[in-house]
Amino acid sequence: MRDKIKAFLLSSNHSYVSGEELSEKLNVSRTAIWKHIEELKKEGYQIEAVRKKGYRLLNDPDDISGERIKDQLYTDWLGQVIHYEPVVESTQLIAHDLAKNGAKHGTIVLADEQTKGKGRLGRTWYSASGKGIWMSIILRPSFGYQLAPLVTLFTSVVLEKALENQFQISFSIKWPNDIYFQNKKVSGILTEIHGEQDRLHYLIIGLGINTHQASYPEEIKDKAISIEEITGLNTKRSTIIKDFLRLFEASYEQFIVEGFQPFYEDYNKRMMGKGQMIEAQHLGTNKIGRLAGIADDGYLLMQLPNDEIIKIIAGDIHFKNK
Amino acid sequence: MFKIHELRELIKLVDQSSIQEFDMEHEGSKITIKKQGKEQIVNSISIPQQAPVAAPVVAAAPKVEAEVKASVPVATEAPVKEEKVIDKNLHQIKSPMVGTFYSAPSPDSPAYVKVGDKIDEKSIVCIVEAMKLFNEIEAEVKGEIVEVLVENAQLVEYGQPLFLVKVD
Repeated sequence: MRDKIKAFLLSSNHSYVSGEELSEKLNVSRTAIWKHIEELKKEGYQIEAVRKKGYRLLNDPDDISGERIKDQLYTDWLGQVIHYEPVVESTQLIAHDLAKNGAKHGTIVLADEQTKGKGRLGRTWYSASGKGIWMSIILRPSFGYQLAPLVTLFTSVVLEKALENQFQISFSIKWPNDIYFQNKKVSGILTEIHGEQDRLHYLIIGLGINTHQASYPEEIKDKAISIEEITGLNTKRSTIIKDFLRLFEASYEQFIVEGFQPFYEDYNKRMMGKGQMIEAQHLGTNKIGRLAGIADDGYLLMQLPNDEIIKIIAGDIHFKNK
Repeated sequence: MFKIHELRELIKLVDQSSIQEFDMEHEGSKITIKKQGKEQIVNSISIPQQAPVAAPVVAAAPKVEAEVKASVPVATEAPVKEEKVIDKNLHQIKSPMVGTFYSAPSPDSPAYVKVGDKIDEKSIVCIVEAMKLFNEIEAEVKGEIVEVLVENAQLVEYGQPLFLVKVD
């Protein structure tokens, strides 16, 4: 009901809508309407109530609830089911629960705030309320374990392209899949899979995108940056989410048929720090060498001082002398 | 050239099918997979000496013998490992993918499981990561961990045994 009232007010073009009209059209009492209006105010909608005139919406808040995202989304399956909550521990945890209970391919989980945003291996991702996009996508892939790790690289290319199209700014991708602007992180992507020995049940892509932050905790303040800080624009999260979901859906259809190959060049072009000295984990030991690019299978190629090329499969890479 | 993981996949598919013999040519490489008698025993697998590429997967696919001929000789990527004598009464939890093995959810946490721990089907035993794709491996059996076969942060191959479990 609240969504219907919300839709009504949004389509009113900031003019007065009478309580009587709302109550007739939606077939609920005027008291019920009033209660829902109070709830909408808590969501950030500024609504003026004037005797004899009715309710008038004064603003258009950056609302990422399901109905707002689905409005003019134009996708077939991605984001057709949206699970939104204002505050969660982690959207990944909710996505796992939903997936275990049969959530459909393309279901997404969104939150305004995460109290324990999930980073790699027990780290947390700073996810302040309304300051970024904290989202998990549930996929039930038709491919197997072979192609699964490449989804992470694929997702970063799609996100970079969506942001680049929207803001006309190029970002770079730090292997395997962080989005950077200059030397600061804009977005991190963490993917988890669940399956049996020989069969993949589902895959959950978790994205953290810094959109509106202007301040950060001490430990990341020199390493993080938001889109608003880069562009000076206060672009709605819902706009960025929808652009990304549309491009992801179209690209994914190509990915499941052709694999990573069509995205390889786009990835390579955007790759951060090629030719630079890096440190990374290889077979349990730290290696230092030159970042030579990526192999077809997405692994990082590192050129050692003796010119031998090794493949890095997991872990973080660290740039030296920075 | 076939990649090792492709060969593994092929062998596995043939093994699980009713096909007795399988031939495939692809970009100058030819592979023939023949099934031997159904009763053949695990530990007597030999890898043909003349084959320039040897797939060390045979232990995981006991009923199949693979013979691979490649027109271009290429150095063997994965050397044939010494086969551990594995008690066949124990269940092996294997890695479903290539990646880095982590015994704990974070560097400061205790390991998910250690020798002697009781586990059930849904117990998480480790994480395997490749390119920031994290796979929490579930035991899929109920029993007791008898041996941990790999070290933390070690690279594991597709199908590589990670744990031995005494099944209840």
